Amino acid sequence: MSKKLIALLLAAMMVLAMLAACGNNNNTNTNDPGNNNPTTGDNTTPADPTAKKVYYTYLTSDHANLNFQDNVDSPSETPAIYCMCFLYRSYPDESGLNFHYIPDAAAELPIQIDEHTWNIPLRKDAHWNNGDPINADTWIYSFKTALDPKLANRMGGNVANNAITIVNAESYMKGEGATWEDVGIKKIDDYTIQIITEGENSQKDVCNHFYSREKSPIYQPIYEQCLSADGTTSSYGADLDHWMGCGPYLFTTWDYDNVQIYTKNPDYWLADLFHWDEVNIRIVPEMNARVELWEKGELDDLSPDAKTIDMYIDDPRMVSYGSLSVYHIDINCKNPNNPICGTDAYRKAIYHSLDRETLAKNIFGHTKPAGWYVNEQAGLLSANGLCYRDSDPGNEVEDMVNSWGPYGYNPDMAWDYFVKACEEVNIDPETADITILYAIDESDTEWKACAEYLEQEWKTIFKGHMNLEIVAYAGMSATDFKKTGDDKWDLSPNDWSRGASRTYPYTCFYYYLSSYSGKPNNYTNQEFEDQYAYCESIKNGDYNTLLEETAKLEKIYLEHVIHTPVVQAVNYQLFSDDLILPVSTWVPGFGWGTIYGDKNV
Amino acid sequence: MLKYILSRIGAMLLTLFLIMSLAFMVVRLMPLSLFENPETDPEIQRKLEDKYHLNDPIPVQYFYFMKDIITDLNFGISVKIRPGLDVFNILISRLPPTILINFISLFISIPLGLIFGTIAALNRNTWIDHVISVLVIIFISVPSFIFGAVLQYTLTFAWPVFPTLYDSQAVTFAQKMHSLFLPIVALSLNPTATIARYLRGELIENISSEYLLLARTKGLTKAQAIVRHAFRNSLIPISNTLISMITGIMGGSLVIEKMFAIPGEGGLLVKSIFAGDHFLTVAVLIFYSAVSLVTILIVDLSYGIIDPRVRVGGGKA
Repeated sequence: MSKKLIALLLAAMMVLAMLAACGNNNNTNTNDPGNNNPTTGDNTTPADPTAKKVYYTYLTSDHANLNFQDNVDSPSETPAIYCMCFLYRSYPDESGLNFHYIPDAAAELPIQIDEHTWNIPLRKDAHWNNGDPINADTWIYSFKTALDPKLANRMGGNVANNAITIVNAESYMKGEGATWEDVGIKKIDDYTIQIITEGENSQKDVCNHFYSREKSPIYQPIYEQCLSADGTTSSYGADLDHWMGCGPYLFTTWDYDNVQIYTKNPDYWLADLFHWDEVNIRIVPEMNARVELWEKGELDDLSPDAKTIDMYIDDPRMVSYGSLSVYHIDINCKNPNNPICGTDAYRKAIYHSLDRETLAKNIFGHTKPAGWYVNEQAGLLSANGLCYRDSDPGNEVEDMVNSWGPYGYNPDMAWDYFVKACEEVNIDPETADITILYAIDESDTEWKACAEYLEQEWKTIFKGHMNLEIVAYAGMSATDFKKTGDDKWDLSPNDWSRGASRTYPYTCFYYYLSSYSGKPNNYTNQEFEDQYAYCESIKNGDYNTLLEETAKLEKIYLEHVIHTPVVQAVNYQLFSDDLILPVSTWVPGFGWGTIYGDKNV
Repeated sequence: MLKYILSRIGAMLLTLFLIMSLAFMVVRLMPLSLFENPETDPEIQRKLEDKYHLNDPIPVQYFYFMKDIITDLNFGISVKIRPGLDVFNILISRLPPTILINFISLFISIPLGLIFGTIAALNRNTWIDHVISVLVIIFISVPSFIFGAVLQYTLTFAWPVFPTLYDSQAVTFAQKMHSLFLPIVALSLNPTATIARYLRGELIENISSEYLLLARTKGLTKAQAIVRHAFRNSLIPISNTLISMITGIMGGSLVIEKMFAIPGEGGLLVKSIFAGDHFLTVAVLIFYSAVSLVTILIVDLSYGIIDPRVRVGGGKA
């Protein structure tokens, strides 16, 4: 009797589960097959001009605070661009294909006085949300605070040196002798400030420099209230009561780790450019929950992750665009337990052992194999918009790589280089038994699968004489794990990319210079450093020459395998049919411009 | 009894002190800097470390840590999760949703567990007992986050009766509870089943005991005998399980809070550990330890109420 009952109960539960799985989800986010362009908002439903336009979006995590000079969290970029003003702001072209800069708190675009000097006239009607004026004193106070050596603001370096380098700013910030009077930021009058740069820059560079969160102004009365007695710490922006906004939207609700709500600021001087009445941002760390919200029509956009892309790959609302990231594997050359890792031949053996086509297709999915490192976006923001990968020098590098094998994969070359590496360190390759530690974040399933694939593949390529051992770590970044010791890892995946490479392609190698304190590997090469320095020296000259020199740099990188590239990432994005975006394609450095978006309601 | 209570409180404070010291040591002895960031200039990093005494020897840091807590209830300042905010204030601000889901789960579980346990015991070896027993096994074996995921899918997506995420903007208590219903249910299934299982076993044993037979022969009805004697005696071992249930619920809420985007203490602990916000991590650990210790204290003291024989030094019951 009891067995029957249990069986009946289990059967009932299974039926219930099936019913639940088959249930109609009342998806309000209807998928109209006729509308395959998410950016046009080509919806025939007449819009109701009185209806409230709310943009529903999400962040995967909340930002720490609203002190943009110190906050290194990337999610803090969102409240900054919505709720703060800047000197300049990016704005879409009428063509919907590109963007340009418009004056925000500035009255006009920067005026070049001489090779290094720019004057920035300021609007006289710019003001804080409480009505207090924003003038030259506001900006000077804000920049001085950002660079204050006592405060040690973590984003201060970006004020000193980003798209432009401000004279003596870094020296002042680091307390290396320069005083504030030496810094190239000056007040000319109440409504004009002057910027003095190192090197020559374009007007676009100056605008670009001043459009990022750390260059937004800070409200002096509150900031000083929040300053510690010794002037070393400020709690400015810790919550909405200790912060002041001045942008197109008012930050009305901040329930930390749950929701942020911005409402339109009717008093903002450029209010006509912004169409949302409200921006509702949910904090949704879980991908499954994001998908559910999207399916229920409670989100206007969704960035599917690698596992979710397949669900939407045929969805006409999905758009894709090249990423800034080339996934790669960092190589340790100083593991004391593995003398072979100090040789270039070993690095080449690893490079040629990666079947990038298989990895892109079967492991990472929806990515492109890449035997090179300069990313697909590199150069898109250059003067003539020519992407390095589409240029002759870039193609020449690709041809060189493909001459070795598809995307550099060549098991015979891998074995030959392995033999050579063994000989260089006096190991007999036929009796060698080398274990390579592949350190991965335990939660990173793609890289874990990649490691497991290579584990098997290497048994064939290196004939059992060089084997992979997976070392999983959790609860820390790869950078932190590597710092626990050179003997803990040999290979470690990475996806670092550098936004500046969109303008100057060679800068994607920046993180691998010996001068970069957070360098993710320990290999240095003088030829590589010299070539990088040379590219830096000619960056504002002829762009074609710069591309040729970047190709030389990339060849040096490949010759010494500074690290080994694996796949070029591709970004995917879903937009609801009701959304009207200001651009018809993803614009590097601008994105989709959802802040200027609109909606059919 | 007063002496007993004071001795228990003293033992609790001593344990808390040891936990605080251990938490401080474990977190501070981690090799990496609190301000580790490749983008941060090493000089700036050093200055930040000086600011928070992180370059002082560990005993000196420990002295500052204990002094600040004892004299000012100051657990330090968050440096990563909410930079500049007092850690204690962060803890307090995240308390309401955690209290709501953890304690409501517990308070729901206790009567439900007692009801189902009693029903199962009184209907021993009938289909009712079998159904309850099967459910008990399922609810005990499957972790709460699995139920959370199933409930989230079925009742927020397939049949959208509840919101997918916690709604902190809810105005009324009823609206708030509507968005907290699923996480509370997910968290309360396991403790309900645990109580039901224990009570069923204890009650069956007590119902068939000789003292209950004596009670019946002295004229008590079956219901009177069970409620006055068997049920009360069955509660003693169950009160002990409350400790593990509370820690179990709190452990489960670490994941449940993340699933339902509930801005509570559980999410804060996980976030602070991953972010390396050591001051905050230590404070949240102390909070969780304090809750567990207070629970143990309450359970210890409740023994005396449930069973007078347990009273220490009381004697004259």
